[in-house]
Amino acid sequence: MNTVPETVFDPVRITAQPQAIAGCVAPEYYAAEVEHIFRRVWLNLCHGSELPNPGDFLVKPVPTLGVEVILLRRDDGGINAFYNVCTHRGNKVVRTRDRGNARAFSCGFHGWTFDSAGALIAAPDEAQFSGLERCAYGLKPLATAQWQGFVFVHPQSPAPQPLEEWLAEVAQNLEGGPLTELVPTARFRAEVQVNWKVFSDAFCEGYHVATIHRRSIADAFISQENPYCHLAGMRLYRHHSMVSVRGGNPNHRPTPTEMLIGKFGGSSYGTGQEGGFDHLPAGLNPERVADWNFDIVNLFPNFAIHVGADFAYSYNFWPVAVDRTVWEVGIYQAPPRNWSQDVALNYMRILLRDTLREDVNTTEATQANLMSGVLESIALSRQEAVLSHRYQVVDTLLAEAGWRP
Amino acid sequence: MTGARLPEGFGDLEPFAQRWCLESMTQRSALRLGSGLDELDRLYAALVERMDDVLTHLAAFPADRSLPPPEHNLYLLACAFMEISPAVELFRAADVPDGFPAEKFEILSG
Repeated sequence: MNTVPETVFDPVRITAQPQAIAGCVAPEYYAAEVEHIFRRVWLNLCHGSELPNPGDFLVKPVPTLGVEVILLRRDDGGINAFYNVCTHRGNKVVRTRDRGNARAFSCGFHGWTFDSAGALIAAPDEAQFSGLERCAYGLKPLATAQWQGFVFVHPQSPAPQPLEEWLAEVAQNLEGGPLTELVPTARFRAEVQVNWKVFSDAFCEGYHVATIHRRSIADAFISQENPYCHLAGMRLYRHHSMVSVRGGNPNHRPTPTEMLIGKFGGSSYGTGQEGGFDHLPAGLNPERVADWNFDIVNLFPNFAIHVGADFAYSYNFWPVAVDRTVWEVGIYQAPPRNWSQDVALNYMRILLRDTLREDVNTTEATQANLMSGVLESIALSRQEAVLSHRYQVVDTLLAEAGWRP
Repeated sequence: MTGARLPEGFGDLEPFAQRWCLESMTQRSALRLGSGLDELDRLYAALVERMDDVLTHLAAFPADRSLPPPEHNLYLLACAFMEISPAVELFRAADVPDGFPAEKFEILSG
């Protein structure tokens, strides 16, 4: 009954032509992406565990849109989201803290006060305003929805399309999977001088593993049978995509630390899957390769989740200019049973952090070179088809919006 | 500092406890990056033979209850081992060679 949805694009055909790079270097292209894509799609802002209790709120900057969003947990478990903009004179309603628990928000400028549903409930000296209709001055809302523990907003409220419809082409692949069993255990952040698509491209293929990660994880990933870390499979949908990353070198000699974490219940790369894959949905590792490591789930435009059997990583790429991106990383793991397992789980967070610094270090030099004008296009292999796919989806949406380069 | 920081039976690790029992990944990472590889090698050599005992000891304590202070320090020392492990086992350098600058990579939690 759990079948794998049909894909839309063919990896061979989509990589047949060189990829033009204008979309990564031209400021007007970036402006069009913000206007015609980022303002018109569902965007992940946080994980639901950041708002565990009714009344918990979080003020989240969304640099791409140039705004802050107040996210608040309702009594019924749902989430309300508002722009952090006072409807009186435009001040930030919440400006002294970025999280807390509240039933109402009072603007520090003149004291306009809004309840947790965003309604204006008090405007001091209200009689001095001519015909102020409170119902017209509530906080401006965003549409919200939750999926697999993650909180999404749509800049338009109501959203033109429900989140479940937007994610439908990939959501089924993860239904019943491990994401809802995992809790956040680490968060990282960086501002990087690179286009958001070039940045995302660094995390979508196995081709770089043997070179970029030669000092760290390559030996665990790269086997004689799969020397270029070919993907087990690839699903390119209308907007989103998924790939399956292999990670088992049978000849890898575990380090002393890997032996320890294997014994005490941490997970690591290339350790194989005990007990097979019966507990995983058919859409994760659909090829059921024995040396499966994780699937990369690219949720268009700027959110990716790497989903393993007992861990996940999330990546948000927030463009702030054609050549600048704010990057947020989350790590999610199963709760440890005891304190030695907690130590063992620590290792994966440290190893990922260090290997991410290997990944990111190529990006700023790449962007500078692309900006130099030396190249007009780049070559992508079939293993890099997810990159071609994202460029094509961007171009398609811009064309549908009537925008031409 | 006087008095034992670590549980009975782990006295041989006391010389490392004062410097390396740090509460957060941010602190542990900063100390790793500020240390020479020779110091990391000495810490690693002292801990690697004892980590099985350390983790066996900590396995008796369920994660949903906080640890007694000596075990908490032992836990922090074990976390320090994990922090320096890639430097010693993989990179043979305190920092990530050819890595994105650590000062531009924020550890918000971990």
